[in-house]
Amino acid sequence: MASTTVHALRGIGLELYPGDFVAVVGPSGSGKSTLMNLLGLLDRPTDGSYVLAGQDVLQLTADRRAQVRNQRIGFVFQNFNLLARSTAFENVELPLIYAGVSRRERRRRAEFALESVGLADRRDHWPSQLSGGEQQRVAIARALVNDPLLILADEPTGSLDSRTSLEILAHLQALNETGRTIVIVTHDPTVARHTKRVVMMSDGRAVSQERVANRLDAGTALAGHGGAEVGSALVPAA
Amino acid sequence: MNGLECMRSAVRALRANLLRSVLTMLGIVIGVAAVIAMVAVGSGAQTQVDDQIRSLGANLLLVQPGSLREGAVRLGAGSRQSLTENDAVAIAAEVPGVLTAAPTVAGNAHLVHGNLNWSSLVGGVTPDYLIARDWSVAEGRVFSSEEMAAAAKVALLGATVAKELFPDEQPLGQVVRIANVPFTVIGVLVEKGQASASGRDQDDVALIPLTSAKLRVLGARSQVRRSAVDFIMVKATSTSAMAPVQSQISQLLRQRHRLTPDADDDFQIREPAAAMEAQAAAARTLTLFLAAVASVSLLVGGISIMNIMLVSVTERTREIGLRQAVGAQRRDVRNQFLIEAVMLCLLGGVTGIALGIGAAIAIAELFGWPIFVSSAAIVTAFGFAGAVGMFFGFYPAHKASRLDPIEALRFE
Repeated sequence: MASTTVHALRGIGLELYPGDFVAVVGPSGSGKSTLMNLLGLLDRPTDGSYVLAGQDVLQLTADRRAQVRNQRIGFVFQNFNLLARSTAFENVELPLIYAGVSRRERRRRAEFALESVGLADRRDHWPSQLSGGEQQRVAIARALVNDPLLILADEPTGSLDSRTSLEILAHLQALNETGRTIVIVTHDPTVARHTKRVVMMSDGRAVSQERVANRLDAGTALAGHGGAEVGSALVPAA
Repeated sequence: MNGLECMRSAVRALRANLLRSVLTMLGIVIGVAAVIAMVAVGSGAQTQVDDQIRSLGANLLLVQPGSLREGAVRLGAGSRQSLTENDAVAIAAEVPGVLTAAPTVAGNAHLVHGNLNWSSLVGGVTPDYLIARDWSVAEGRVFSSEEMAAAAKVALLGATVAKELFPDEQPLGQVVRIANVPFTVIGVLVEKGQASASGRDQDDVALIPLTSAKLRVLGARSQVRRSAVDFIMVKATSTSAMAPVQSQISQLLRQRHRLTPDADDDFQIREPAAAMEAQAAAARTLTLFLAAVASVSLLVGGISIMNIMLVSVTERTREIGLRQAVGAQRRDVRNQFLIEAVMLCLLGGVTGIALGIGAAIAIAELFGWPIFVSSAAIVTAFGFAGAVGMFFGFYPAHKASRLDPIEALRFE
């Protein structure tokens, strides 16, 4: 059997600025997940460079990359990836433990993060006791608890119904309003229209990059749904 | 991630699969329990022998007269009266490495107090005898030199004799008739327990001054040599001095007894503890052997720990990936699994120690075997259980720490 080298990405140039809100879209196999893994320092390209906040992060050892992920990047996954045997609070606290933050400080910051996604009252619930939307909000709280430069969301609404998806998007938009840089990978054009910039990928290349013209506001849409307050509480202080 | 966090997360992980954790632990529990119980039985035997040796007196040599030969007929040991008090004095004075040499006469005599009587071994001794045998007086005092010189009618009673003759009285100051001669009890010996090679009760004894014994009770055996003694107890200063002391005593006595070079010794020197040393060595070997056999089950327990940890790592691949994504470094992941394995083993170790002690006590009760649970055995077993956890937990933990985060996150 001949083995073929598959180039998941070939020659992609992408610049992200503080306060950016980018959607990476494209059909499956277009390389958007690979791009996400590279941005998240979970994977390394065979060639190329990645400068994060002025630092060439490709030369780092596995442990140093883990530290950079810990300090500068927050992840939100499609399937939430919460630890089933840990409470909401403990899940949010996890990155702080690896950052070596003191117990008191961890408590303060994790509770603040939970509060900012409106889940202060679910603090001691197990993931299995939370709805899908709530679990994803816990994941968002976990992603922002370390005050990262960059939040990477891989199909964050992929496992949620449309109403809950709107809630999550509202949270992400609110986060972006406060100056967070966010990259969402999605195949859903509606989700992409909530962001500021869309990068279209095909066959390992970014075929187009354009600003979103008629940006949707998830908060308004929710209000139109007659839905609950996503409230001002979800806006974390910078 | 600090130690406390690691332990908390380990406890949680172990509790999540409680039955599995308990079953895995069982291997270690049984292994440790077996080691503890077997070593308890082995050391029990060893301790018993050691106690016997100690109660005989450490570093002890027994010098006895040789056998009497009449033509072709050889009479038994002690049938001659070749040893004298002066031999003992010479041994103590001239042989280096001798702590003390105690000339002794011994015989059986009937003891009477009031309407109670008891037949026992009566020893005519000097205070050196007590030093040689490491015996001491529980109450009262030892003979004074005046009493020795005056052949005073004073006696020290062994614990058994004291109990038989004075069941509910204070023996001190009371009068005991030994072979019809009234002696005043001036002391009672410390109880040594029933433990000699022959199974004789060492507390069934009465000691009186050597002079008194010869003059008043046992009589001088030899009409010719009034200074003859039955044996001389020699205590060497250390175990290593035993061999040179033995050969020098032999030389000294040959010279003192004016034996020609081709003549046989008219005395013999025995090491009472020698036979028991062999027994002690056998007991030590037994302990080692039992521990080795029991260790095999500990090894098997370790392998089952490794097996389960490997399963656990595979099951929790996604968790590992997530932890890596949010910042766990390799050592964080490795320590997490290592601590789980070690904790499992230490918990198993503690349970096993309790179970092993219980089993040892049960063995002692059921079979009447002597057991001895040493704190060293407990500490070693505990440490060994931890080491098993380290050793068998390392590979799975290492494997976990080497996972690729993307692969791990994608794992179904």
